[in-house]
Amino acid sequence: MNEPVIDVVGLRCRYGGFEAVRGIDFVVQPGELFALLGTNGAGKTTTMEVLEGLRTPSAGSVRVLGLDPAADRARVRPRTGVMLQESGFPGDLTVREAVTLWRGLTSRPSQVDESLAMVDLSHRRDVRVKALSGGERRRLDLALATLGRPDVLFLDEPTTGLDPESRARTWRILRDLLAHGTSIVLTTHYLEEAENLAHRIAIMHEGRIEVSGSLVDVLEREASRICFTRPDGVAFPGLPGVAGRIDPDAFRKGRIEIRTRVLQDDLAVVLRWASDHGIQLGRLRAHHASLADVFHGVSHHAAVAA
Amino acid sequence: MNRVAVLARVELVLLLRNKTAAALGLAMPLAIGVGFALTRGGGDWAGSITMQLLVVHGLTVYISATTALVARRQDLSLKRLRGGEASEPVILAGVMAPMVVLGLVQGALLPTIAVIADAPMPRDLLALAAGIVGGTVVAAGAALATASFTTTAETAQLTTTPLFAATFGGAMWALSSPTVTPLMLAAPGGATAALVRAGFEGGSAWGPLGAMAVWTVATVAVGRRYFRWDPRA
Repeated sequence: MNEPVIDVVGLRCRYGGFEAVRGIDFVVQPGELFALLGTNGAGKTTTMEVLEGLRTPSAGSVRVLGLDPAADRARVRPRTGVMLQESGFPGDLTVREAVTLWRGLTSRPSQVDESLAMVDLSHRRDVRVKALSGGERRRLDLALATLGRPDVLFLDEPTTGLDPESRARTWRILRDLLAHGTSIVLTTHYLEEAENLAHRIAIMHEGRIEVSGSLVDVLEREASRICFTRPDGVAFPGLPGVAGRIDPDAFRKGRIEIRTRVLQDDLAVVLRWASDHGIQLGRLRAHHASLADVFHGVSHHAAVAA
Repeated sequence: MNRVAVLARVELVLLLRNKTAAALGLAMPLAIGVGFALTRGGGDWAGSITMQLLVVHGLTVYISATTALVARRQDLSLKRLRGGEASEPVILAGVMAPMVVLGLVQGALLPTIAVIADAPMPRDLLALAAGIVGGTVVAAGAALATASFTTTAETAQLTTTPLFAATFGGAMWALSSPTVTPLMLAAPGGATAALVRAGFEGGSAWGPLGAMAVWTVATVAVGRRYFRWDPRA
């Protein structure tokens, strides 16, 4: 099983005059969770829709399980599960009826009770869909996406609107699916979700993949940080002689921020400097870059909508 | 085919749970149809039965199916279904199937009631049956086309009105003339009227059937080109 389950080469998608996806390449290996990150409008959902076979690309090629997701739809669909960013159900159906309907449309479905129990909706089975909370609907979406025991699962923002407990449950479900060999492509605005679950990550910005690789590789790109509040009476030239770069903007705002590739060495320099000058460092923090740091580095001006 | 039945069953449940839709698609056509049977249209049974069929094809099939398609698009279930295993034609057929079946049942029932109420037996039962089936198929095609240009279930009442009203005009035009011209057959409702008349008074069924085939192909082509699965797209 060395064949990738998903192979994307030179993918481009154009809507009228706007090119939402501008030439991206990536592969997803069997049993791996691949997280597609990016700000709103980065092209994540469009990319997902092409993978799901719901949209035809304007250029490039996409293979899912070795097949074309649009042209070979009938062969691909029984092996994939899709959780769209937004999808619904007739509000007058009950939860159980909705799952039963989906079972009737699925080749190798799980049992209704089993899938409702998985997402903790058993007690809501006779409630009309329109009476469910946003989080409950999202869990119903997950139950349906996984009902056909898919080999490949597409999840477009699966935990948006979930409370922390439901999110933790979703993560457990996804880990369990991964353990059983399911490959997952996930988009999310929650960076800690990607940090917790993803084997590999791609960060999209304005239709292109700016950063991609394993979580470790991606985190390596960004320098580590040492931060503390500016001690009284210290001028910029009087700061410790670290190997990393001290941010002058932060200094003006009353903080010292050092970005460094040699965290341990520079931290030692800072601590010795403080000790020599008899300075107590307020709110001292030293840490490796987080995914959030990498993310903000890619889309400096764009905020994470979450 | 099994998946069409699965979808159709759910859609029927929804139709029965929605009082307005059920009244529009079930009670009203039957009430109006029985009304036509009882008033007898002054002895013009072909006219009365044509009106019965137009009400069934218009309300039960055309308006109800348009509304159902638009409602399913609006509640985002079409979008979800499209991400599953069922193919696009299967999804559309499943959503429209209850209206089509109800249309066929009512289309057979109402002329029967008319016969019980004193209408003569049709001379050419096949021609009448062709009118019932053909009109239903055209109405389903028209629903697909109209749903392509309708954004909400509420506006469906507006967007379906012109064609619904036009079928009565076209039918009356065809019924008022001793000979049916190709233009009359092409008009909405004209072919249904011509087939009912062929059923009771004799005449060729091929012309009106040809017109219905053209209507069906044209409306399905419009649906294929313009139907949207996502309310935002």
